Amino acid sequence: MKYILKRITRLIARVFSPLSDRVKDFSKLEKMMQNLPAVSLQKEEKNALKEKILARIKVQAQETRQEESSYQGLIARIAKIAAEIHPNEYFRILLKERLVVLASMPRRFKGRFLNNLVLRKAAATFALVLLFVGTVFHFFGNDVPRVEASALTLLEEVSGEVTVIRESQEIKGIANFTLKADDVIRTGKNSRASIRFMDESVSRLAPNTEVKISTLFVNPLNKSETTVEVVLNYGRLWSRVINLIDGFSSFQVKTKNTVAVAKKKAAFDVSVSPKGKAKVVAVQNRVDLMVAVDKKVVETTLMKGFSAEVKTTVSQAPAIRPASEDSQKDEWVSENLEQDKVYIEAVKQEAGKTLSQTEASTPFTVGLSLDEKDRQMQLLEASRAKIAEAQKALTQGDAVRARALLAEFQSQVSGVASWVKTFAATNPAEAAPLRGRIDALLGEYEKQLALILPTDQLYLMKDAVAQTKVLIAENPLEKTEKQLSAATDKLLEAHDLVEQGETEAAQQNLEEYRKTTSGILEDMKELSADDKEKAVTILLENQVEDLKSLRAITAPLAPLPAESSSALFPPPPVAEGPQTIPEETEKTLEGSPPVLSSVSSEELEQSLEDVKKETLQTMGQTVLEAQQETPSVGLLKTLEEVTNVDVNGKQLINVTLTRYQVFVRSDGTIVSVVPVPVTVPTGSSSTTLPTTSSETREAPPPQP
Amino acid sequence: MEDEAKQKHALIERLVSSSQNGQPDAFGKLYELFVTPIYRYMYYRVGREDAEDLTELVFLKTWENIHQYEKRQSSFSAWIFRIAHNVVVDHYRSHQTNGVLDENIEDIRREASATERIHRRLDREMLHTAMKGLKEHYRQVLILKYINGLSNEEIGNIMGKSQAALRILQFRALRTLRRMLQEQGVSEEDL
Repeated sequence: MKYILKRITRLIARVFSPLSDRVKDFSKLEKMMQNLPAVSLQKEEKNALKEKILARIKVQAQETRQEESSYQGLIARIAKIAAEIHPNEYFRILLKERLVVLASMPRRFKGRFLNNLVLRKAAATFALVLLFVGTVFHFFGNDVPRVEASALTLLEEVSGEVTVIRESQEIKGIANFTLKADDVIRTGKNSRASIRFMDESVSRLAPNTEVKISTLFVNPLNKSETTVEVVLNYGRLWSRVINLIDGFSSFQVKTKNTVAVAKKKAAFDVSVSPKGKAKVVAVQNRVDLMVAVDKKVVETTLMKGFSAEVKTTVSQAPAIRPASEDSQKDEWVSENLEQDKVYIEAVKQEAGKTLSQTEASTPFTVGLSLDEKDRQMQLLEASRAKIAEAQKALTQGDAVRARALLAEFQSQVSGVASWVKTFAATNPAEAAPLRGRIDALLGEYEKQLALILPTDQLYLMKDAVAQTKVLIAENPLEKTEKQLSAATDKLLEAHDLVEQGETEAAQQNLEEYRKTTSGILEDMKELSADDKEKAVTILLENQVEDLKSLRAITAPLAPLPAESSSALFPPPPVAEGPQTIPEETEKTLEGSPPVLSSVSSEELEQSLEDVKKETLQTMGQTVLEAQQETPSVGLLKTLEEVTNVDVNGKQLINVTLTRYQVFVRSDGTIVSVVPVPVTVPTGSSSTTLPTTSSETREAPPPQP
Repeated sequence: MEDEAKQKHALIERLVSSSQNGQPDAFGKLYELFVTPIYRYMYYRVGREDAEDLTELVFLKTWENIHQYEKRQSSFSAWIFRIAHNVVVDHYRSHQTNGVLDENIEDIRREASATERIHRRLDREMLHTAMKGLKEHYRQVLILKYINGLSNEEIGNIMGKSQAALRILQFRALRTLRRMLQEQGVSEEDL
């Protein structure tokens, strides 16, 4: 204790002791230090040290610079590698779109929204609840039964002994048995079978017949694009193709060295005798025929009412002749024509049900779309509702409402197509499947409505779908293609109308065909040089097919008696089902002789002839204009192919070119097209410009 | 070259001004000018997996705050890269990485120091791996300078350093990078 007190006392004394006392402690030290001798460099030493330091710095700087320059290679390599780094294209574009949309939103709301985590969480929860409720209603709230067209190939009707051979196993054929590619179907004596294909074509096997289904193809992205190939090993096969839509779709029946190909619509009979001789008869419309002869393929088109016989030896060309009277009275043919009528009506009714019960996206599901792409596809699906409502309106007789709904359908689909086109400008890979979906939707409706004719109530819908296809064309060339396709369909409808005795409606169709074609020619003048050439190629190919279609349209020469046994001119079908039938048609349905409309057969034939001449004139004008502008190799090839087209074993068209004139000959009609100078006043002088005009001559009758 | 740089700078400032006035298209154009550099920045700072997400975040934040940008304080390039830098820092924090050296990354220096050295050509993966091994501020300066091509002034604004300090930093970063690449067996010509 004493020691501690002592220490404290000393400390206090020290603290409060005067400064001078403390300083005194260091003064001795200071004196000592002040008395130390001063040390300094001499001037020379200073300079030497300075030089040494400067030299050192200089060397270091040089080394640094050298080192820095030695990095140039590395720097360049880094820059080169880095330049290869790019964000994923899809990510880049998607992010841009999101940012642009974000930038378009009102800032105050955005800022509040982005910054407020609670608000964001609440919004996310609300969205999830909406999604859940929507899903529940979607799956459990809709109890409308769906009618779907079968996408299967079925053994539809079976009579007697029918066997299906699959992977070498024999299976008893029964009705509604699902068939697959590579299946072989065999009918025994006094047995028959019918096959309904997934493209809605039907084939019927006569007794003692064997066929193999070699191809059943449906494009998964566009179900209206189909290919069916059937091989007839022996026997007899009737085939009816009713509504192939897509240009790539086809139905083929093959024998050993013959292929009969039907596109769009046709009815034909193929038989193979025990000796292997094949015979193809075109009963309605036309069939393209390819025959292997001497290691080459002979191609021709077999028109309605003509047959082709092909022998087993490959060195002989097919013998083509008009179908004999025997084949007209052939029971097999007449029975199948009768069954076809029933089948076609059934398909029409199925299509009608499908149209009226189509499921479409609701505004609710559209609103729940995840992004703009998804929203547009939902809008596309939502347009189906317009079609379904339009169909209902038409069956109720409300054409005004139906037109309005169809206009909305067109507007909606073309809106989506327009968005896809804009999207494609920056993201073509993403846009292609979206465009495919639009085409698939329209293809689906086109197929369902293919059997509808201008005399049917639902024709407005068919017309609206065709117009929509033209409307959404992505470029002038595609528009030309679609218009030509629509024009060709008018001719096919005219064919069916004539078959039904509706000559006035058929003539109206011919008129519309003429208008559409002349409109296309005018539009083609606005195309660029490259597009014009492509359009010319497409036009020529279409015109060739149209000439064939015109040939296939045969006006009945006289009113058909009710008990007519002519299988080639069947009476109009009896319609059944919910659709309201126009009054004029009802009169013909009661079994009385069909009453021809006010247009006589002679008038109709004259119309057909006029359309044919105009078609030839169009071809001539097209060829002349193409020739004047130095046609490319591709176009010349097309011209050559066009002139090599064979119908019933004979050349369809003959084209003779001179420098300023072209002659087009077909079936006894010659058309010449020459440029006609037109004077155009330009100020004080006139300028003469060449245009084209045409002159039609009838060919002299053939000399015996 | 200098004229081009000036013109580009003037264009950027015009677009920024339009964006501040609420024009979405102008912001879209700004996006097009900067998306690749920002993406590259993110690619080398955080890796390929997160680069897209963070790039998106950078632009969202840029739009959010564009009205706060003032020309006199710094160039727009520096400003947007500053945002990118902050996004990376936040990313590291939330993923609890310090961005210095990922211990899970295989130390290829040990592998390359084996008796057999293969003189390999510098490629993207090797550069990426070597960059990952650098200290954060070395990596950042190399990315901004040699990958994004920013000026020292802009980099100084982004990193908050003087230009003199920046020069030294760049030099040291290059030296370290080269040493790491040599240890990986990169060929002399590439170095």
